Amino acid sequence: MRKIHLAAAAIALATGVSTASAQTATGSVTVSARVDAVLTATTSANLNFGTAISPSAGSVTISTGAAPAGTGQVLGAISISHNSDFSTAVSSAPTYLQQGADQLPVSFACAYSTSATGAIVSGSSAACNAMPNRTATTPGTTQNTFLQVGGTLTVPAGVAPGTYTAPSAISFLFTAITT
Amino acid sequence: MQATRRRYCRTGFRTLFGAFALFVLCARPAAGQVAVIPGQPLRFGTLLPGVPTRVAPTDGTARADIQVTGKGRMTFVVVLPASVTNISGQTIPLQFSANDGLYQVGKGPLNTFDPRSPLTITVPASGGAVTLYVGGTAVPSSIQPPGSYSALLTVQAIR
Repeated sequence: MRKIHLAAAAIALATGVSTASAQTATGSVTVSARVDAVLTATTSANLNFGTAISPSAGSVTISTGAAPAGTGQVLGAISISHNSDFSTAVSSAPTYLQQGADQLPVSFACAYSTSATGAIVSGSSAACNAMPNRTATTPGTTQNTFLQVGGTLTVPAGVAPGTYTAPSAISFLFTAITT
Repeated sequence: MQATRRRYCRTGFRTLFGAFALFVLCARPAAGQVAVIPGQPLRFGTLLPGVPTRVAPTDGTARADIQVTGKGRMTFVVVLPASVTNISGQTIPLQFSANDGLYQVGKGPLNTFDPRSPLTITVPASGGAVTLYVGGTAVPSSIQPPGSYSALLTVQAIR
């Protein structure tokens, strides 16, 4: 019987020792970093509708995707340097050009391109306040995109001759899109 | 015959009780449970492409800290991430050096350790918790895609 006692005690001791040894515990914390996007915008060309002759009503349109051919006409363009996708929104836009009390209604159309007067990026021609996001070709690598700004100027019959200008610039807000 | 059986039963009961008592005594950890309590994350903040950024283990606002409770001889293994990753799978390599780790027992002095190697210390019964502080260096490329990057840093405590 004493042998049985000792055997049971030995088993218990062995079991107990193995439970008490080699405790492990683990825990984790996060490691985080952020890389900001590069995004700068510079006016490359101001939109100019050129000279309109107005014995009768009509309109002048400057289209995106090519340099306009008319005298004095200039396609507006903003050069955007970016290394990520970005969105485009219109902050403010004039609705007319004016000279004194005379006003000529104006509307705008935009498109993305890789040059100020070059072909537009497929699918990017839209009203300026409804532009799709511009995708960076290689995220992280700085690239240049041009936002071309064209539009249509309505010239009513009998307006006074002269130089008409917008009371304010059309302004855009570009926002980098990062993950 | 019956008396003999009763004696055997008493003896058997005593044996089992003794074994159970011994088991409980031996199974009780000698110095409490080991627990790892995650504290502050390791934050590199905003990085500039192409510019390595180091967080020192003495930087109280950016270093990682992890607390370990337990007494006796313990080994700590810090599993360091090789990089942080963004949602698109792009990575920023991380580097850790011999002086990117500090540990402190209770309110004792700070001691430097190499987080790339296991650290073994003996924590006295009156020593308090062990706190590990870990810094490191993030090495973004010059064409590092913008965005948020993250990884996990894990501490394993063995006693």
